[in-house]
Amino acid sequence: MAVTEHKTANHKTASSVDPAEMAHFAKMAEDWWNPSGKFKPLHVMNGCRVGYIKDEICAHFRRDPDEDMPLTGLHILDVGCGGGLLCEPMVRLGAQVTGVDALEKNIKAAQIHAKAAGLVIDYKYSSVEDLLDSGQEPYDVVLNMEVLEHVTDPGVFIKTCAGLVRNGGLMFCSTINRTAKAFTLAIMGAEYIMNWLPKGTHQYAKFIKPVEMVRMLKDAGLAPDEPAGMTYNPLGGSWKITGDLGVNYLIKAVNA
Amino acid sequence: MKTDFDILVVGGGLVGLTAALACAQAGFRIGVVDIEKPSAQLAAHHDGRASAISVASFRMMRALGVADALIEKKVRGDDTHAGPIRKILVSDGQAGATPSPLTLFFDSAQIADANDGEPLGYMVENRRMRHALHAEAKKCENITWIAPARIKDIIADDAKTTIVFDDDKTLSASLLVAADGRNSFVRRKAGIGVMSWPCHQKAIVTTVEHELPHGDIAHELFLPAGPFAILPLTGNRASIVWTETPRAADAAMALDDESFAAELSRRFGDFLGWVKPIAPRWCYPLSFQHAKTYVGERLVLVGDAAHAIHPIAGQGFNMGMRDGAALAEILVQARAEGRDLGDGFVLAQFEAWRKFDNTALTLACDMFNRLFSNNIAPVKHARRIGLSVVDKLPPVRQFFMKEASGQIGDLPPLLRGEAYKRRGGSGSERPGNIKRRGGSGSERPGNIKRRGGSGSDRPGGVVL
Ligand SMILES: Cc1cc2nc3c(=O)[nH]c(=O)nc-3n(C[C@H](O)[C@H](O)[C@H](O)COP(=O)(O)OP(=O)(O)OC[C@H]3O[C@@H](n4cnc5c(N)ncnc54)[C@H](O)[C@@H]3O)c2cc1C
Repeated sequence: MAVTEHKTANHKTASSVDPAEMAHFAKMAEDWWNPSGKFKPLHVMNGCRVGYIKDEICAHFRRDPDEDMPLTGLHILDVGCGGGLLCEPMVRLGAQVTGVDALEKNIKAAQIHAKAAGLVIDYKYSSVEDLLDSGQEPYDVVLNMEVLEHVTDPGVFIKTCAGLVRNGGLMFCSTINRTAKAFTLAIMGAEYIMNWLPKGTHQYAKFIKPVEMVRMLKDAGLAPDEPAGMTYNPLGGSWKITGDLGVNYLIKAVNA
Repeated sequence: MKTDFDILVVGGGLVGLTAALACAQAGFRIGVVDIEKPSAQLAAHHDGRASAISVASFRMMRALGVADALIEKKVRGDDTHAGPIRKILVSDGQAGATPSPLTLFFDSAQIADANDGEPLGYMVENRRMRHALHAEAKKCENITWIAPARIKDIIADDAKTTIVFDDDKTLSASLLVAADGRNSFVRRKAGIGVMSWPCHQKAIVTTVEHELPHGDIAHELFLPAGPFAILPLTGNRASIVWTETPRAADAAMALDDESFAAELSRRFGDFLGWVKPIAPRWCYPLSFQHAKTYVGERLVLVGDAAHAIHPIAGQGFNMGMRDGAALAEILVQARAEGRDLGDGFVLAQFEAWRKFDNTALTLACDMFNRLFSNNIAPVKHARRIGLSVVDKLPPVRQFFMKEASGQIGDLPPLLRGEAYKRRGGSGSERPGNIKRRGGSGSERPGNIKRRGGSGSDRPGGVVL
């Protein structure tokens, strides 16, 4: 599918939009919500990421995570929201959610799905740069999950996103470490051997080491926590939060 | 999306009610739809069976608050309704002849460590169980009965599933649980096929009184036409499951009371003194039936709607309870992760967790039945040797017993006897036991970890 088929938004700066990457994701957009389709790994991982984010938000904003809708009243921005896999659970947990994606097709798919599911989510076809420039009120929480490894300049990208976090608010980032293990598991394993992800989904050079991540967050004026690992157990088919940062990891930072 | 209920359970039988109570306890809003009036289901003549409830299942009944009604002494002059099974004696025999001396003997005292001194299981009359479940469901604010009601159609979409009743009224929910039994209307409506195979047997069920105490021993006597089970009820009473070829069963059903009693005594022998039927006879055709899938669009099948097995191992209801316990656990987890309860991913988890176990048990029961329900000399010989070998090897025997009492494998919390902390409809409190994550969302609990072979929650094998 050609890039031109999916008109990208009018970006003033294009640090976050790599056309080659975008064309690739466009092909996948329709399959977002098929739990046994191409995005199965995200569906499987989702419970773990949502659980982590929910618990961290609850700890920070002094909410009881065991409430039915513990995130009620919080405004969350999900950057690179794709088909809305993260937005929808956040809404069910009570949050008011905005999802942005630089790919119109993703936003369309996400809107269709949310409408059918009867969920109210503010989806915007926009880049974070444009969102910041539009004078958008900052959010309580900004989520950058599994997007940094797909942008051209993660440092600049994180800075832009930091501008969208309110004082005292949180930013979450998750990505893949640049290690031999990550290369083996994320690229060889997931893309070539298991065929979980279409070949070409990830580029090794774009993986980010935790120290680089911490530095970028600090450069953006945020106070990052210790990163946490997210590990897949192939025997049980589930993800859990661990101390192993070798492949997938997450990090929380406060706009103090 | 606001639906009328979180979950609609179709079928308020033993399994449907167990699942409804488990989910209601976890705080979900439940509607239970049944084609029959509750009063009709509670009538004395509705169900003459008694079920062997494994220790794990009985713990679940305790966690759900149902066991109290079963073991409370002297309720309106009644005695306790749960008769313990302390020993199981399996033997090979001929009608009228004394049981073969080569028997398989299970004794709860030998697995006292795993059982906390509890028996291997309990015998509970189905009608007692029904009364206890109904009483508990009535107390639950978040369970609504919709009965009698006839379903015309079921329509599932991305937001909800909707039941259309024959008067064109509708009710919606995120998830539909089909617990409407062996001939499940919901399963047929969803176009889910079944694999089934007849076993050319019928079961005659009745209750007898006998002269001498049964000592809490369950007897399973393998007669050529099929198993003959004597299951200890409270007092000097036993529930009889007498399996026969359909012709012989029909003939036995047609006998007058006196001749029937005589036929029964002939099979029984005299080890419990005189024996006399004290209840009507019920007759159930037997077959194995297994749904090709346990899930559909916003739909899960539980209990006999998903799997109907031979009563040889007395596991049908136990399997259904496990379905309910696993479902509640998966839904609690899904809610905590902000998932849609009817999401394909959630349904796949249920299927993966339950199907492996149920398939294995269904096949095992069928093989067990085939092996024992015949009179071919070499097979007979082999099974006698088999029984005595199992009996002589303590580790093997212990394994069977632990299996029988439902203790093998990784059990959902309810089967470990852990209740969900009750919470009001508004959901201010959260079930206590799902709070497993350390400070920061650490360990994602094993909702999916139980897939596949080894760690799975296996129902018991040979308890009758
Ligand atoms: C002879 C015999 C002995 C057994 N002994 C044992 C034992 O010792 N231990 C054991 O664990 N199991 C035993 N079983 C199996 C056990 O009885 C069943 O597995 C169990 O009763 C199944 O319960 P259920 O709720 O799934 O189905 P059912 O009990 O069949 O309940 C189905 C419910 O759905 C309702 N319904 C049906 N159609 C509709 C509709 N269209 N709309 C709405 N509602 C509907 C019915 O009114 C009923 O309430 C035995 C079975 C037999 C035949």
